[in-house]
Amino acid sequence: MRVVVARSIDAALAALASATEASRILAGGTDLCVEFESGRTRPDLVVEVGRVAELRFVRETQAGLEIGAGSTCADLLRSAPVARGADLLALAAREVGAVQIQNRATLGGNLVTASPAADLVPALFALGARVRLASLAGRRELLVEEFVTGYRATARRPDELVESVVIPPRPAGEHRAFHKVGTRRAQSISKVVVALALGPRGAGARIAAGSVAERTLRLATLEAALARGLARERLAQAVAHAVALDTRPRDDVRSTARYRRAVLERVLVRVLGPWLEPEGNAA
Amino acid sequence: MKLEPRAVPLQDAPPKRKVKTTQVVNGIETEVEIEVEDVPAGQWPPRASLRVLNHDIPRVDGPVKVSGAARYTHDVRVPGMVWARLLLSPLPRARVAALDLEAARAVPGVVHVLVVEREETGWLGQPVAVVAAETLEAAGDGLRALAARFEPLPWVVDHAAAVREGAPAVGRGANVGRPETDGDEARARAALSASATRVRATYTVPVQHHASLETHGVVVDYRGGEDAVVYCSTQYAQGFAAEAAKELGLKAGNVRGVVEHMGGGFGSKFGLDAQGLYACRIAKELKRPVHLMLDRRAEFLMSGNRSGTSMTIEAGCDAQGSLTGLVAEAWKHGGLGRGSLSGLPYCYKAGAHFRDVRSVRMHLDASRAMRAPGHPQASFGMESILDELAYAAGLDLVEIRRRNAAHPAWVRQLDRVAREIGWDQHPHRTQPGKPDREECIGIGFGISNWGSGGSSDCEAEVRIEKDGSVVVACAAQDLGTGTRMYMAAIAAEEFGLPVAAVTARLGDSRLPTGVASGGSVTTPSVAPAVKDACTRARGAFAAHLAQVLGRSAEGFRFGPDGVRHDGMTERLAWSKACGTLPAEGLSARGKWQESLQTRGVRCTQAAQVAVDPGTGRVRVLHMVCLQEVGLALNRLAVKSQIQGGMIQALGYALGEGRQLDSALGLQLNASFEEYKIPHALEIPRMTTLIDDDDTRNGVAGVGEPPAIPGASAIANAVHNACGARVRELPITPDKVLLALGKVV
Repeated sequence: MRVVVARSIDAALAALASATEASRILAGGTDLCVEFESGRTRPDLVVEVGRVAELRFVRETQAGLEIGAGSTCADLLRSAPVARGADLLALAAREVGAVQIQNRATLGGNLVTASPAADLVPALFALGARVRLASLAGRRELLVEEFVTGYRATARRPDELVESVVIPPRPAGEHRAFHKVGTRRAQSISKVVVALALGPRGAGARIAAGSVAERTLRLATLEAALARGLARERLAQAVAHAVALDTRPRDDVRSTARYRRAVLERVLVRVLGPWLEPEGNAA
Repeated sequence: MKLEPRAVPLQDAPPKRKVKTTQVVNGIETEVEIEVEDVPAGQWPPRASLRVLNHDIPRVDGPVKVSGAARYTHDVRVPGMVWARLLLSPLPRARVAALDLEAARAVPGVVHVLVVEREETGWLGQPVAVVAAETLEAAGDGLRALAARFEPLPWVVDHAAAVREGAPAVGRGANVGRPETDGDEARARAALSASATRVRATYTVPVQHHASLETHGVVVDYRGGEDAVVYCSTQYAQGFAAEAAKELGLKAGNVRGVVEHMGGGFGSKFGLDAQGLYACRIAKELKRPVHLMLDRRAEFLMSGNRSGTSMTIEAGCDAQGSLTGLVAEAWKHGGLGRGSLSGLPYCYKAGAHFRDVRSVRMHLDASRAMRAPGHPQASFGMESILDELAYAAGLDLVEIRRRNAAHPAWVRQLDRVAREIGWDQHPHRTQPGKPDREECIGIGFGISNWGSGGSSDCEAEVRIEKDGSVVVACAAQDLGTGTRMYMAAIAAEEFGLPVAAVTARLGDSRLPTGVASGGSVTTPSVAPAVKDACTRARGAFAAHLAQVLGRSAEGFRFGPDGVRHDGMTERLAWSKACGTLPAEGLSARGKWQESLQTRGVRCTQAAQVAVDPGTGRVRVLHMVCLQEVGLALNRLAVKSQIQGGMIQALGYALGEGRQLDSALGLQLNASFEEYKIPHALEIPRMTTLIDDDDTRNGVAGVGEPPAIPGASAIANAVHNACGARVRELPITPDKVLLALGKVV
């Protein structure tokens, strides 16, 4: 195993130029070091980017809020611009592990690991985030839904590094919510996690859920129903329909599929209910 | 005349008499009759006169523990030390198909490869090989280089598979053990038939792990020659040293066992264990010190656990709620071991009872003693069936307990605990609430008991130095519960000193005979011996001062204002008095005395919970515990230990439990990531009460009883809140929704 400690983005990209599918990028190490210890992962190349200062920033740009991939969960919790423009991300960061983990785990790491139970990823989905990737071959930008492609799988090529994510400016009057159900009140990997954003009269709904399929996903059926001006009385039925169509939960060590379906439904009804108009008032 | 230097001899061969006491074998308490010296019985001072004891004394070792300065076994580093790691069987039963010893030996830094199982493994996590190397990392590389291959053999790791006809045999003999029965079945069944109300249900508890924050392990400091020191995370330093001596081939007296601080044991750390054995073998072979601590996965797989149980209980009562009959059929799940389950009915009396208990063996590590072995399992079955009976008969949940409790202390405790938890204002006293709101509030109760007596072998030494300092010593270990603290406090009380003026030395096999710390015996063993040593030292000191000052020895009093004599108006400062001692100071040895300890501790708890019937999440809001403790040496430490027990029970109720994949033969949660012990945010408001109506002036062990009834109380509270009767621990949210019929 070759280890390259990169001190700059350029150095990281140069090292990644020879990367293969078996290579790994190490940022905070909160996932990868556990895999090393368990023996599940024996990469040919590890590029350490945890000390690349250029990856750790939050800046407000015309395109929206740009957050460096090396920003830790603790950074997200402490950032005033994140609290203003990407509140869901701060709420999600608070749910990641304990304080020690929050001090190490990075936004980029959570995204690239692409665990179906990731806490930050649903928040990025609901915020409509775009992912900026760099390699020696150039730069490109993907919608976060396009970036996360499957169970711990992303559209990142082995030679690419996630540099930052961009959160579009918050539309006026958008409701947002983040809700996680775990076994414990902290340091608990999600049984179900939901992040959502909803414009006035159901416009521009982005409803994201984690731990209910092999990857984080958006509940397209529900979003469509909301965009059509769903009345509060019809919410429960629409949610049940969407959960049945859009999610693919499984039984695992943390929970059961039927529990996940039932609780996802209830959480969505509870969160969305107060935002919807009763029948008659609906558009 | 000069004071006899050092030791004050004990009386020569005093007459003996027989007393009943508790002896602990691997954490299981057993009542035995022993002979003790028939000396005048020592007494603790009346409670009202106590200046130090029975007060809150902050922990002396708190600062070193929270700052990381305390040296645990894992922290020990000695010159020339090698690091050892274990290769475990990844399957419950397998043929060892390949081990590349040459490759492992060729890894730079690897100094020794020990194969401990060449043929066939018989339980998940069974050690197969040990690699020792100059660094921990090199040892890890050595393990990987072994490139071990295992061919699966048929196994059983769950009840259904183990009892099936033609199931793979677990060791020799049948997978289901012989029945252990108690009571008269015909009479019990007749009583059930005649009862006004009867209920029957099956309750299941999982295997619970000790989850000690410090894993098992040892540093064997042997460099050749005749002597060795073993640093061990153990509940019995003297026993550990003796076993290690045998393995090292050294004289028992030449091996010193040291355990300065312990990060928990809960009954799992009595013997040398496999890792201790291997460390000794490697040290003997290499003539170099060996560091061998289990990693967390090994800790989950091979260090024992609290056995699981499945029990079907049928109980009946008369119109007033008195238990007329109880029949229980139970299976213990203790892996290769027998498991443990206390008697049913547990803490309650029934007109007639019968029980039939069998163990079901599986290809998993043997269960061990764990904080009140057998009691929490029995409590869960008992308290659950009692609640179900009360609801079926329309009776108040507290009233049915008061009526059937096997000892009057519980009646008094139930009244107080019910008051503290707000039972009289609670709306659901005879029927559970409905799942009709986001936060349903419920209350549940449970009671427990434990023997808690001391051990007659325990001794202690107290030394008063010429400079006025005092050292108290006993080989027993401080598991983190405050042994060090009360040893010093007893001497401080006896000599009228501040606690800080006394140093306690413990956890060292070279010190006066201690005790195996299990079954809550440490305090009722050590405290009487320390008190006796202090009494003797005080007598010897008074005799010395009588010589020096020309006064009668009987007249001397030791207090915070110094040394006084009944016939003198002036006082002598402690340091001045000690200044008259010979250069070597004064010391005295004391022995355990029956009169200074007491037996039988009863405990009552209540829990108040909030259940969200939408998600099935349970939040414990408030727990109340009222417990007998005899004479509390340090009220702060007693309360702290009670709270620890309540928290452990909370984990048993809501999160903990070994999860296995039967088909793949894996433990799914052999880590703290997936094995859920409670965290700070789960801790409810805790009302921790020492039962001061218990006026027995003897010391009792307090650690066991508070860990027993909490899970039962929480389970009953969940049902009381919203009608979700979860008969299988842990009560995870999905089970709550299932019980409510809210998931399909």
